[in-house]
Amino acid sequence: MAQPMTSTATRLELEPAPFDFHGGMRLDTGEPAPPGSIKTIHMPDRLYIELQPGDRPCVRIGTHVLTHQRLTDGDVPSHAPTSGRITDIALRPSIAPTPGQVPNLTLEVDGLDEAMVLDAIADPAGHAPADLIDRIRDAGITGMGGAGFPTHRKLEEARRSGVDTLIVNAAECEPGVRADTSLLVADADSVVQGASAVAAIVGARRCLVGIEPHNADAIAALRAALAARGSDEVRWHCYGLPERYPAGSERSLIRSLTGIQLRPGERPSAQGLICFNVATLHALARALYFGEPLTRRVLSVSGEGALDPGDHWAFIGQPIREFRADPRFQTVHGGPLAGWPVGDEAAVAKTTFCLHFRQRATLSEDPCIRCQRCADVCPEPLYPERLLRHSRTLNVDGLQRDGLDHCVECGACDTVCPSRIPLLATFREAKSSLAAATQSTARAVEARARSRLHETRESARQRATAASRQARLRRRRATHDGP
Amino acid sequence: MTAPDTRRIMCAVLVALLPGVLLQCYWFGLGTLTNLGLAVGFGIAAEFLLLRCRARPVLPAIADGTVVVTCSLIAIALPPGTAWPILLIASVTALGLGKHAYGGTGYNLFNPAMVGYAVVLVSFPAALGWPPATGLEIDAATGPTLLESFKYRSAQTVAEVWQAEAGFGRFGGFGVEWVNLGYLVGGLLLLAWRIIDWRVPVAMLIGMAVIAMLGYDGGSSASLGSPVMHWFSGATMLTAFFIATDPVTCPSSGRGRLLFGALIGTVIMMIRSWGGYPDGVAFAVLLGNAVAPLIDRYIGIVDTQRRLPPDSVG
Ligand code: SF4
Ligand code: SF4
Repeated sequence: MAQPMTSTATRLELEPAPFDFHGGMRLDTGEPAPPGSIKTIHMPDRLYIELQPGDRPCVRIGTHVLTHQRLTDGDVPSHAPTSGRITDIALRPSIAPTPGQVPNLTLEVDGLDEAMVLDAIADPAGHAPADLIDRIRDAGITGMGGAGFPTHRKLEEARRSGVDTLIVNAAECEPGVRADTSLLVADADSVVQGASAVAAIVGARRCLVGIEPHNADAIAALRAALAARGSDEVRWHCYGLPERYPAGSERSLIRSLTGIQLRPGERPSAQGLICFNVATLHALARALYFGEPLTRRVLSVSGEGALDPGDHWAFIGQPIREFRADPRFQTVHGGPLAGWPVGDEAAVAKTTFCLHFRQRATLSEDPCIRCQRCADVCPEPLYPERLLRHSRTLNVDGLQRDGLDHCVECGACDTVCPSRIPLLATFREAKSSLAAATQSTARAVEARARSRLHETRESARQRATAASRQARLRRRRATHDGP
Repeated sequence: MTAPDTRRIMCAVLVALLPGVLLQCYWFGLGTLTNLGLAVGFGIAAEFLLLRCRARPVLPAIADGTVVVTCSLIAIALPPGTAWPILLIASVTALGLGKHAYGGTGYNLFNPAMVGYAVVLVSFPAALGWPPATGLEIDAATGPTLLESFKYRSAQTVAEVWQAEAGFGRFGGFGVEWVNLGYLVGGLLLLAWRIIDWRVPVAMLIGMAVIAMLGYDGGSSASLGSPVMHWFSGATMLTAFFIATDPVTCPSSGRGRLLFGALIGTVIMMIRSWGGYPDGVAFAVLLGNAVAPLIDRYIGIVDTQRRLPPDSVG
């Protein structure tokens, strides 16, 4: 790997990223918003905690819960963001890009915020990695930048496959989002602590930080935190990323920092890498050093329809409409480019890094004129226009051939399309119907295999019976025609 | 970076056509303008009826400007002052047969303008001779254009033809050379505005030049004429920058577009040299359109695999 190898433990100055990624585009977002302080939580009346598949609530309707009390058991537990009473378990619209209903716990907030005593540890160095991973799981930590992959599983996987490099994603996933930057400015120490803990758990010896070079305040905060950090074996490098969207997407980031292009569906751990964003590292550090479960996060609120634009602390489960000024606006979960519209009833999830409120689209789409502007900006790089054609006819072969599963859902193609075609939404739909189809084919294949097995057994049995009958006949004949 | 919408793209194309159209009016009279008016009028009416028949929303489809561009290209390609029934037939077949039969804008296999143009060209060959450029002194009313001279005087050397015929200008066909220059300027504007991809025109012009160079032996009787002469005769520049570049009917991958352009350039030269028509742009473009999906399919796969990381495609 063409990394500048330095013997000093920490390189604090910002170097430009050694590699670059394909496509992408410069976005004119105007003046970067001044770094504001993160706004505190406005206490809501009710919270809606989404249950994941496999979650079992460990509270009943009517149970009074304390702040940080565990609400569900499952792969990733959920916790009460504040104290109150569980009043309902009901189906509510999910926040996922594919609309659907999921069970939610309703927590009626009592406003007292009575907290439990937390089990904090002073020095994670004295604990075995497996113990730390257990703590991280019990705190309900998941990836907070996008897909929401359970952090404990990511760490276990990294320990299994061996990882030497931790990549810290300090770049915003989308232009106009400043949640991670604000968090870094506010509490870079925790982020660095979290990164050190991860490096210790997985045995990484090198930590590469990717950050946008224009975020001077965040860079300064990071530098100060790195300088103040205790000594360990990890070498840190900070890199300024190319200023093109989507520099902050995991695959583009890895490409820019290490030159490695991940294959579709390939996890970074297969290449000896593990990648975390700032928000997740912060939550992880809070969980280890303070015993705090993940019940709140920083999110950016933006768009014309935002009640109070800026970065906010929000409870997991806080109703989204509390951030909106006017119901005429459309709510987009995630950033303005790659986000997707969600209904009014949705609530903040662990992955909600941005809520964007915009005017509903009034212009209808035009036919695709195959201009290939979309192909020019695709970071992967694909031909979105071909995927569009295949998606509309659900041409599975075509979708596979042209690489639908490589699409990182960045929405760059949408932004440049002169015909205003919702490409990304179409791809998301195609992906989910493809997944459903594969699932049902898998089931069909399994059923066929079972029935074939059954048939084979049946025919084997029949053959066996026939053979034994014939043998009997032969024996009988033999006795008849005997000497 | 804000996306231009389709209408803005079409407006840019129309603006870029202007220099060529004005020069065409200067050299060949105002017939081009009546062509334009009639063809666009017929086209919009036809589009309206076709969309009505197909029960599709009419307004957005007409407002996006694609019809105007298609019909303008037909009007420009046909000789100035073409009779209105021919313009009507050309516009209606272009939109009906060339576009809506395939499912409308974006789905057509062939360039609609060239479909309309080719249909009238094979149906009314006699009515579609170009008049001589103004200032060209020849007696016959249907004076030969440069490309015709070349085709029918194959026994003479280039220099002889050049002298014997009045149809020659400084570097291409008399008058036509300036019109071509006008479309070249428009095409460069489109490139500068990033409306079209450079690959198709460049590959097409190079393809033509290569064939012409192969046949150009300094001017013997078998010679095809120099590359520059071919670039600035007939409808070369219009085809290279405005017709072959139609993204709907050309391949999507970069290398596919290079191949497509080179193919069209080659076929134009073949028709000009050995075919039955003096200029063969319409047929060359249609042939290119017909193989574009094939190019996409094969070059496209190779290209996607090249763009994707090496061992990811099974
Ligand atoms: S940018 Fe839009 S119109 Fe152009 S090829 Fe892509 S999908 Fe089609
Ligand atoms: S959303 Fe997918 S297809 Fe569109 S630009 Fe991003 S990666 Fe490419």
